[in-house]
Amino acid sequence: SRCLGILKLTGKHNVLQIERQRKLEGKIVWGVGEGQVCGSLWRLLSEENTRKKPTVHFLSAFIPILQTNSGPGLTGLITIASHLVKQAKKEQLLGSSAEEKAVVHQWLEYRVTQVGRQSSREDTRTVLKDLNAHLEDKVYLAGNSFTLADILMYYGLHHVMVDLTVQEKEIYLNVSRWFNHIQHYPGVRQHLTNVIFIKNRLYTSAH
Amino acid sequence: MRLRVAAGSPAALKVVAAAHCAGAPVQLCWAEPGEPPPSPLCPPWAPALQLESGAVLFSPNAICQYFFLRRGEQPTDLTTQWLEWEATELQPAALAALYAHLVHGRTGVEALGEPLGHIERSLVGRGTAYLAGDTESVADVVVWSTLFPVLRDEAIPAAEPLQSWFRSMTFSEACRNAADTVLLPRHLQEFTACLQKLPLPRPPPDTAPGCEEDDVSERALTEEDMAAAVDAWTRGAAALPKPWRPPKPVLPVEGMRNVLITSALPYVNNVPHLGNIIGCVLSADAFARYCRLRNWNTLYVCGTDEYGTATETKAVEEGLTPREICDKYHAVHADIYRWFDISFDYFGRTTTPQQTVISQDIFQRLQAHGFVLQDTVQQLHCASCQRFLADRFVEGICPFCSYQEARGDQCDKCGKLINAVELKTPRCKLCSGSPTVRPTQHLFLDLPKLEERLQPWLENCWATGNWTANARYITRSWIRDGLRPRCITRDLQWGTPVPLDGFRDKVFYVWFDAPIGYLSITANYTEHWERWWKNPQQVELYNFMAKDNVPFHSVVFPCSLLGTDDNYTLVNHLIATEYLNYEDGKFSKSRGVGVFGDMAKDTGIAADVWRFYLLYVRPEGQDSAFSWGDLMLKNNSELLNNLGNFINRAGMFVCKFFGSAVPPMVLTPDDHRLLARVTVELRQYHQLLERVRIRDALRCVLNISRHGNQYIQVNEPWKRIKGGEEDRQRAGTVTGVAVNVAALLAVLVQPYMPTVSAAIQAQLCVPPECSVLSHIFTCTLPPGHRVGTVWGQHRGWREEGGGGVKPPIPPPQLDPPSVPGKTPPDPSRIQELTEQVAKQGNCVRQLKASGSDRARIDSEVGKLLALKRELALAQNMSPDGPRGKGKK
Repeated sequence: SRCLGILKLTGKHNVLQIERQRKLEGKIVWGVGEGQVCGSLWRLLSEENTRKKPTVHFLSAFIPILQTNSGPGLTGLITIASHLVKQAKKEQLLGSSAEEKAVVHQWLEYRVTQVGRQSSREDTRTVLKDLNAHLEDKVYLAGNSFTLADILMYYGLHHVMVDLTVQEKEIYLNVSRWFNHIQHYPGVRQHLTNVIFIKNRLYTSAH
Repeated sequence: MRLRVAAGSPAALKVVAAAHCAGAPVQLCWAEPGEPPPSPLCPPWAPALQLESGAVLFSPNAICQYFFLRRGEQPTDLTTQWLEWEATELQPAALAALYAHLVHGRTGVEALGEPLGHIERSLVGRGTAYLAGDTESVADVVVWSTLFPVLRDEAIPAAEPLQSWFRSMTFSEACRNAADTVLLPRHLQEFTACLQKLPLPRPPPDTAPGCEEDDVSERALTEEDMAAAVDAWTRGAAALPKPWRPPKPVLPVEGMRNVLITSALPYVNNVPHLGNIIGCVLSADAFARYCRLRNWNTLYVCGTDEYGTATETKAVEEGLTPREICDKYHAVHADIYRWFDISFDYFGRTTTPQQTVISQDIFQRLQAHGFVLQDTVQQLHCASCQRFLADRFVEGICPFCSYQEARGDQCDKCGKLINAVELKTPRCKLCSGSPTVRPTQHLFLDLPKLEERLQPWLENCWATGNWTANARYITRSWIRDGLRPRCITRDLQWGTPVPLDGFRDKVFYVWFDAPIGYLSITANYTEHWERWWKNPQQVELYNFMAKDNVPFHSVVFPCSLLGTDDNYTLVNHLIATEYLNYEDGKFSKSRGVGVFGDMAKDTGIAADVWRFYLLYVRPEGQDSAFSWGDLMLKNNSELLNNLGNFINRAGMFVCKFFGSAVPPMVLTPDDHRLLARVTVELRQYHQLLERVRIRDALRCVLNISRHGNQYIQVNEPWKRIKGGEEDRQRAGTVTGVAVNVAALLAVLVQPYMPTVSAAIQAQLCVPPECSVLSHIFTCTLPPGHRVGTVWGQHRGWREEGGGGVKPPIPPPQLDPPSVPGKTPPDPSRIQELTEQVAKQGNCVRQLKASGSDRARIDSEVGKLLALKRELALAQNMSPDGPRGKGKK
């Protein structure tokens, strides 16, 4: 119904929506369309490549829609990603205990609300600072297990990490360690470039 | 489980309701104000759930999800989708609505129209009683809790399924209990305060007005719009207000809107670059000119900020006295602003006796009211120079990044602020000796004590005033981080002396004394300066600045004035720009990167073109960039092909076909439509400029001339003039309407391009009493009005008239800008396309009017847009029109 809603041409508002969509089409925002993320995730989950690739439409560069055989499409990155994970029978990626599931959800939400929308440089710094503090004593975002949160955060942050200077990578040391770990996780990186991290610290006096 | 909520947090209702609903055994604790959050990631106002494992959940939706998971309810695709939608779409909309409701007292329901429609469509589409099925789930609690604070007082203008869903949630025991616990009346105040501290809800990208011009032009005009426009047109010049020319010096007038405009005082020791110019003086100038055209009684003052360390060090460098340095650079500044046609009522300086008198008076009042503290500071002292060294008199190694030549206040390499005593191996800038750390006494402004006066003032000011989002945000974050006493004295000679025993060898620090410059500069302009500056009842004060100056104007200076108890006029509207970058880097004086005021003059490009382009890319709402290529492109496509071309053709037809007298006009519905279109744009222009959206308002001006060009192109007066009686009359009407649109444009562009405006008004002989702005578009050049000489070809207008709008010549030291190869426009192709556009436009209008099905309309609109694009290309305009450059 949202899909239809944006095609309506009666009121001023809907014309505006179409206009907005038209402008976003073909415009690469932060280098990562969320639809592209869905595609990468789908490839990662279906290693055997047996299933047919589902169709992903875009409500906009930010909001993907997954067309399913049954019923209306699914809207939104978290929703589509969780659906794909369940379909691939890899539920452990959504967390095993109730507690872990909630934590995974929390980070997925953080991913769609704080990372990837048109964010300013300052917003990005805040995200990196937050994550750096969080990852201080953790291997993965949700603690000790690799989850969907790590995968989507990796796709969301790739373009940011590519642009960091060596010094910034040292400032966000915990993020760098985590990122390097995830990009070497089998199947995750795909077509994305490998981001280089230097093992020896250069800026020892940096805070 | 320990659930911590902050009183007044917008998300508190959600988590408490979910806990009740899912029967989770939580222990609810209210966070004390100022209590640190349990996790660094957790914003102070967000609820936090401490889990048994020690982990902390800080996302309200994740907390709700957890309560339901504990009860064994697994998330489904549908609940996940609702939670995601709530987080990404509903929350920002609800926050904006609440903000409008609580802070501005507006009703929030309209703002929620879109999300409410979405919920309604879902309920109807699925035919279920609840959002994700026939029973209540986490989705219902989460969505209801966000809606309830906005909707509870208001009747929901909604159809049945939405109504009954909302009511059944509201009356469920769990939700009612939660609302009673969380939304206490006394919490409402804290709720408001909490909202004010949150960053302002950001508008969704790409919907800023000015991006909507297709939208406005395609919007169906109603019969009423057209009737009103025709009515206004026939009233003629008599309907315009008489232009107000205030006697000099300008002083507030009882019963008039008295507008006092200041732009941040440029620091005297260097030549301003384009970023400085657009950041304050030029923006303030465009607005001041607009105010005068609106008949508001306006005073615009500015001047050079001359005291401080930087001047003293510069004087040492150039071997002059500080006074000589100031005299030299004040003249440089004044020259540059004169060249840019900045309409200051007075451009003064801070090194005057008035500055000393007023600063010392303010200081003494602050001292008498107990807002000044004394404290001992460790400071570097140079034994050979026999003086304490102010920040900029010291250099050394940066303690953070080990850069060798860090300054005493800031490191140029890593940008961090430095306390001079932290520098490694400091050296005196004057004698290169090694200074030692010695204690010295300094005075401090007691900001924590003044905060209780600041807060109520700010609240009131924000409710009524027009502050840019960045100004509010920066101020909020300053206050949130806690105010500390700020040192207001320095060990220098070049400054306002401190009138207190024990401190007579010190001067006031520039940021205490520089804003006082606004007052003293006005005092130099008129002895009745207090009628502007001690008159908040009658005067409205606008401060223009770049964003780095915000805290001094929103916190420090208002605190100084509030502490005096002297009824000063405080800022009502704080207008801060973002940064203007140069090509893709930063302007930098030290590295000589960028365009500086004196260079702009040497390029041979007219001042008005610079003004136009800088205002066109004004960093309004986000950073923007200056680029030579873009300057050239905008000059050619917007100034010449659009605006210049239209005004020239309109004037030329009058001269060539009608012997320089405006012909009689017989209006048809086509003309009515144009009048209504122009009126829509004119109203938008006013709305935007009243909110100081200078860049966006310029788009409206260009839209008007775009409509005008299209109007001429469709009606072809140059052909009809050769036809029969009826055709000749039509040619006359079109020419007459077009030349009146041109006369309106001449006034509308005045704030942006004063010289061009004057040139057009002179060519068309626009009567001086029409040089005023109102909300109506009326016929100011009636039939029989004689125009002056209009240059025959628009090449002429480009090269000689119109204040010399010349094609830009980039300065030789820069790489020649790359401009896409251009072919001269092909008139027959343009005409053919214009006809097609008009035809397709009619087709779309008919379809819309007849209510055809959407898909059909859609495809026809698609064709229309494609045609317009092609037309723009043929006319050598950017196919995206003036939508600006793509955001990165």
